[in-house]
Amino acid sequence: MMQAATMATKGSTKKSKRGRPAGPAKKRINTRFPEALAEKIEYAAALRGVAIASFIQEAVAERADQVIEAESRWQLTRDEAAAVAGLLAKPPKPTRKMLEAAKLASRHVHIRD
Amino acid sequence: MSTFAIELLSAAHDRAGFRSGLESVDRYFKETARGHLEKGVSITRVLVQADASAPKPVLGYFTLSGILVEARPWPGAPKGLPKQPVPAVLLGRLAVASDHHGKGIGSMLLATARQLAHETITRTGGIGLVVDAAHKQAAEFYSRFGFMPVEPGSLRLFLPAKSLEGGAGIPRGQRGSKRRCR
Repeated sequence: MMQAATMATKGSTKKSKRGRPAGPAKKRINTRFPEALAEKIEYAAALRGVAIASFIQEAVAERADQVIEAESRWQLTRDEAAAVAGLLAKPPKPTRKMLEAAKLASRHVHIRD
Repeated sequence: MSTFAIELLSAAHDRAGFRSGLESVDRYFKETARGHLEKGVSITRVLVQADASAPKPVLGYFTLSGILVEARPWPGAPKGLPKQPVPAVLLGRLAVASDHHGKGIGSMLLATARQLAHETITRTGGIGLVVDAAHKQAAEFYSRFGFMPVEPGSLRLFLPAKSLEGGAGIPRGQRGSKRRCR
């Protein structure tokens, strides 16, 4: 069973219901949630004391930022930075598999752009 | 004349018919890749039969874009990398049509992506090629080609710029030449 849920509401929310993010919510995204998930969201929003729409908006905005960030910017942790720095200091030679791939492509592929 | 051609994704390619077996990758290809190419967000290229005519069946594709890498500090980096973000090339997606698995298409796509990343880096700078693997199996595929996970088990792997050098060159042009650089 699926239950319809609405992520954003019409109209200005400047002096809006409690917990709702500032700014007008103008665009509606209709999506369906599995019943159990919808109930979980309602319960969690109630625990936080915020409107369901605002609860979903906040969670989704955070996730969207993460996804977009991951494709344009990479903030390395200390361990990751050490690993990358190590590779830059001692770049590995191309593996045999990579050289074979290059040879295969050089024989069978040409770049048209 | 070579068998396959790498082309910039265009209306001549059968986007709707492409199935890799991974929905997120197929959906990106169908719905987003062309828009991103037109806006300059990222560049998607496809592998097709050299003699195919439109709508050309797509045997595989890959997407390259720029990414800024930031770390403070860089422990043990050669000569000290700046605190400012440094550029790199990101291989965000690479996929092979499911009915063409096991034919070396993935290898050829990866070799092409590597060559293009190397060209970009020699022209505009960059510390290397970053790749995002869709899952563990894909990460293992990249490992075999020398990419190193940045953390054990990480789905993000890296190959420094120097490691992009070497190997046979993939020819350019409408038909491709028999010239090989070995």
